[in-house]
Amino acid sequence: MAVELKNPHSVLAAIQLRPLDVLDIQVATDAPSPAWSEVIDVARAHAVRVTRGGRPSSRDRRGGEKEGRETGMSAIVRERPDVPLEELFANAATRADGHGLWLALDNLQDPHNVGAIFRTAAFFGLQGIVVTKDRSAPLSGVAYDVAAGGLEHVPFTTVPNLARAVAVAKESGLWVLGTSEHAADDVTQVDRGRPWLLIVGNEEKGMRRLTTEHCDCVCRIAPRGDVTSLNVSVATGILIATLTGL
Amino acid sequence: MVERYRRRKGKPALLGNHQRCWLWGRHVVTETLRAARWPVVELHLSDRLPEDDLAFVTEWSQARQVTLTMEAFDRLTDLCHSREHQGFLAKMAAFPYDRMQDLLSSAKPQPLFGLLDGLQDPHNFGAVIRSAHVLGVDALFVPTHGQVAVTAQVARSSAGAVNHIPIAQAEDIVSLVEQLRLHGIRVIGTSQRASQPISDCDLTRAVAIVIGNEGTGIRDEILAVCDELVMIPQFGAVESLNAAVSAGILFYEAQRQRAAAAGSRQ
Repeated sequence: MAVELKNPHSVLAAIQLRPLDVLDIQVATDAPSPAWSEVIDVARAHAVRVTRGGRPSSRDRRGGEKEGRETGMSAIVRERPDVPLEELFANAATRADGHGLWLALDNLQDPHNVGAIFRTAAFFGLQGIVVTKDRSAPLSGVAYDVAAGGLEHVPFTTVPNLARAVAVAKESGLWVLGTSEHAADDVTQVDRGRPWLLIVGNEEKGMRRLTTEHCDCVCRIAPRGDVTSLNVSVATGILIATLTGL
Repeated sequence: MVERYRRRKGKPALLGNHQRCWLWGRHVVTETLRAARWPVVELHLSDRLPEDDLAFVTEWSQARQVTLTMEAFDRLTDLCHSREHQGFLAKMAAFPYDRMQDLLSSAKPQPLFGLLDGLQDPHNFGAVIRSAHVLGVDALFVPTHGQVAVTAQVARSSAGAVNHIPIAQAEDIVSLVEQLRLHGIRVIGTSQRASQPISDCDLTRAVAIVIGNEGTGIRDEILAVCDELVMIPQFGAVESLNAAVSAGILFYEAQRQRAAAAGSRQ
């Protein structure tokens, strides 16, 4: 399966990391932006096909921040393949000097949130991400574009059963950290000297009860104010920043 | 912009033209009514709403003499051009921005402000407002030009938080920065070219944190007038964060430092 990308940053990362999977760059404008001009140059250098023509953009403007809005440029890219679950967690105790951080997304619904979380994960150098398959946002073109290259850098695997993935993580030596507004401990109190699998729950309902039961520890972001919680991609950003050493 | 939508004498200016003045959705509309800060011109509800939702809005509209109309669900969809209204639709007056001078003169000791340098995406702006409110930011400043205004989409993305945090517009951000400094507020810019990590910067003092545009970051002329530049430590390959995520991390760090300082004083 292939996805259509409209953010030059997501396309550039795909060309640099797996040029053979970039099937076509479609140019439907005479004046591409500087970011897209760079994409075209890099594509030619990697012998990626650049086609004149193509359709004007029809997708929602949220595709990928500023440059993503511009119409007339797109790329057809094969989806990045999953990494086997065991490989995702291999040598967990020694990776990143024992401070490695992994992430599991439990039934997230909005591809913008998933994309934003991949971008954050790539910024902070996370070791891998587990994404639930059913009743969850797919890793679509929108998610790739919002991730602005993040989906090319962080290894991931999609799983039908998160409980099994959590069990494999534990066997591989990871500790499992859940998140809940009702938890007693604050994320700043979590021991950073362990390899953690951080589980992030659905936008509306949070983590499922069954998932919570598999956690070694549940933490919260100290909240205040009248609105009860943060946007899930912002909350995940704060958790990752804190756990990687802010 | 506001002037374009000003109606007959005595009527309030609307949020936008006849298509762009609608706020929709159960949570954000009821939150806006409860806060009673942003003037509502008309209310339209679906005739299929449950009893208690109906009672609340009816009582509210009678107390404030705002016209309430019951309509078919599809008619509401036609008005706001979205199917996500859940039976709640409000025609809104122009957003009540706070005055910059009022916010500066009435600021509490050691205020925490956010200064947005030209966010383009309404979803990012809404998410920043939501984070700012939850993480205890006292007020936000935005430029009048080159920044998305508070629209219905921004209000929706903020999960109603636009009703709870003061937002002021400034004609010129560089002169705003100078005013902030005159009031003893340190202006902290964020740039991945800076060498000081955010956690080394004392955010318990009176500070304003500047959040840059999604594509280009903070403009050079504003970086030049900041008191300090800080960065978020990066360990991976992607070099920038989403604007709303980085605002959340910065506001959280300020709130964490302030909570720690308050704890150690006790």
